[in-house]
Amino acid sequence: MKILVAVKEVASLDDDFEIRDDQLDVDEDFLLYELNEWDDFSLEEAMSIKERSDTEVEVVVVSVGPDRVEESLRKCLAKGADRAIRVWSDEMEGSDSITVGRILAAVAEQEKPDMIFAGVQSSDNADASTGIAIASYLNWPHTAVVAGLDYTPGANKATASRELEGGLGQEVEISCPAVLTIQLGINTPRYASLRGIKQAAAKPIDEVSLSDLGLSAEEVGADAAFSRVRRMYIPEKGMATMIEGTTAEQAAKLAQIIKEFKGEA
Amino acid sequence: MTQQPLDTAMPETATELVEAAVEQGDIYSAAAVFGIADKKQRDTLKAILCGRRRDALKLARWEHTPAEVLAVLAGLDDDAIRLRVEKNPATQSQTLADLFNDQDSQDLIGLVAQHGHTSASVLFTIVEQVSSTAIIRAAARNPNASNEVLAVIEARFGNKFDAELASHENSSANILKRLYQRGNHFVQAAVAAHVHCPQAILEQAVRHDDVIVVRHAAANPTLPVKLLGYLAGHPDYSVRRAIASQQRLSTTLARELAQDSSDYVRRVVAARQDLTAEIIGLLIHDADHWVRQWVALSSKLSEQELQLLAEDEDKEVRRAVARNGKTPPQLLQLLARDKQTWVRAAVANQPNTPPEILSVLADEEEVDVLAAVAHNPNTPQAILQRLTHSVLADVRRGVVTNKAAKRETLLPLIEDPFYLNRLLLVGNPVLSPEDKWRLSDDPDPAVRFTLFSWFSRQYQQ
Repeated sequence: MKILVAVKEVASLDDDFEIRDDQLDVDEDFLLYELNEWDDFSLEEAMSIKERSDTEVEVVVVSVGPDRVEESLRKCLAKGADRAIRVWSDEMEGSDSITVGRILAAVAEQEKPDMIFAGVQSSDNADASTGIAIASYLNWPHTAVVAGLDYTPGANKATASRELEGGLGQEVEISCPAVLTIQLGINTPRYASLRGIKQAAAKPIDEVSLSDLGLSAEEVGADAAFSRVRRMYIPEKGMATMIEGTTAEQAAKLAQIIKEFKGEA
Repeated sequence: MTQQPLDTAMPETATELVEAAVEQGDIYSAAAVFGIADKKQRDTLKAILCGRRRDALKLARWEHTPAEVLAVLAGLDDDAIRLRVEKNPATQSQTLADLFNDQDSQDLIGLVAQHGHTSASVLFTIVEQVSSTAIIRAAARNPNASNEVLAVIEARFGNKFDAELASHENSSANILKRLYQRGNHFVQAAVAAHVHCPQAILEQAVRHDDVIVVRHAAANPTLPVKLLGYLAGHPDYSVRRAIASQQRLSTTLARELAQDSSDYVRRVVAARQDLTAEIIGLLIHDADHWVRQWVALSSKLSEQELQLLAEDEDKEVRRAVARNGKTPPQLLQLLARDKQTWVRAAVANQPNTPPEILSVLADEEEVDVLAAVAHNPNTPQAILQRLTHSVLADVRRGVVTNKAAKRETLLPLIEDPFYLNRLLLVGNPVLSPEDKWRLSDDPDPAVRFTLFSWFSRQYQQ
């Protein structure tokens, strides 16, 4: 029995960042990389299924990206994932979330997992579409924003609790194999043990290229993408007024503003 | 350059420590040892610290980067890095002075003007040369601005920055006098609260029409004793509350204010360190639970009074009794069975709680109680060892910070999964340097930095 967990190394912004000269992205020097928060919960869900199971469960993490992505994959190995796969070829540069879904679906066709987990979204691009794209390319059932899961490895059905807008919950029965996108808070992700981190540093990471997956250059990258970034920019900031004066004066002005806001003045 | 695993034994000298950091090639270890390196070693370390722009940017903004490393980064010809150095609270006075002398960007000068380490002399130059309102306001708010700097601001800009000058602790009595004469009520209030406020102005302020001015004067620690009684009867509660917090309040006035109609005033009285038995008797049955809570913390309470408050209906009052250093063991025993977790956690935190009570509390599942048991020096060592296996990082951290935890108790925590717990072990005096050196190739940069900084301090002495 195998669970494939799709993870992404996301970029977060450093203070006072600068936009690249081509205005298509932030200058890489100002980006900090880390494992996507949602994916930490996906991995934990897979690990807890593995640990609860009477049968053998293999947890495989996979990510699409250049060398630096290995750091995030090693974090997953340190937390107990059995194997890690990094998929990359230069032709994949510029792939959008749908195209990444196509690449991950090709990995799934080779790995033949019984279940695929992905985060609901990534914190940098927030497209919330990669997991669904994987399901679409595989023609598998999927359910999104999973906040609770009842699944026994090997079973042909799973029950997922979903978070909906307006505070509503929804319980969904889904046929397996399936793709589930996992919501924050479904569990409490573990910290990797020190021993786990040191052992993960020595573990091999499978490197898979475009040709290994049987995909052509035309099927991936910027040209195959369904969307492209035209411009990255910092929106104009709204107006703000600094409240000046002594502390008591600032407090009095603030109280006045609150009263006006409440229609009391 | 990425961090390399160390295969060296524990360094015995500063030179060996720097060599270990160089071998590791890690920016955090390199930054930690930069201060103890000789000139040649510093050149090698600079190559590690500044070799990649990403790393230099990271260090320039990191609040723990040592001042001498920030000085190196300030010398790089890169505006983005210099901007971060200017914003970094650890940047020292000389580096800021160098940056100021080397630039004409108004934004960057503004950062220097507000930095907590900018010297009075640099601020003096800024307020003499610059006219930007934002920059002068930043300088006028800077605690390092001397009276001379403030005087220049007043001379150059008139009353434009009166609010800042009236609130600045270095403003002289002369400046304050002029501010009171020309300022609005808010400026006058700030002057009245100022420790340099001339007594003649305080006399005027306590009779001011505006209660804000009177309240600020009432809070001034230099207020003449004769005016305390005058203001203790003021019709506005905020004035009486300020008087109730005065250090030199007489017992007679404190007793009077303990019966004040305002809860706010009685709360301040209840929080005083000099409560008499009579005043405690007035406050202990107060209808306001905040008043009883403050009284419950008093070191002047008798055993009977503590007993009474330990049975209070409000959990915060019972918690305050549990925190009181005078509470006897039998009352702590009672409170250890309290239905409220927060009360039991206070018992577990109490330095006087005996081991037998802590042993019972150690069987709880509430993280607040367990973390406090783990931190209490009276907890038996066997229980501490059990708590090192807790799945809760906060509980294990309680053991890490326990002053009585023995070496054999702490050693397994060197492999704690939570980085902060490992980091805190670096400064623990019962672990040997050899024990600590096991963290030298820790995966977390903050742990490595803390460890190499600790060793640097040992070899610097």
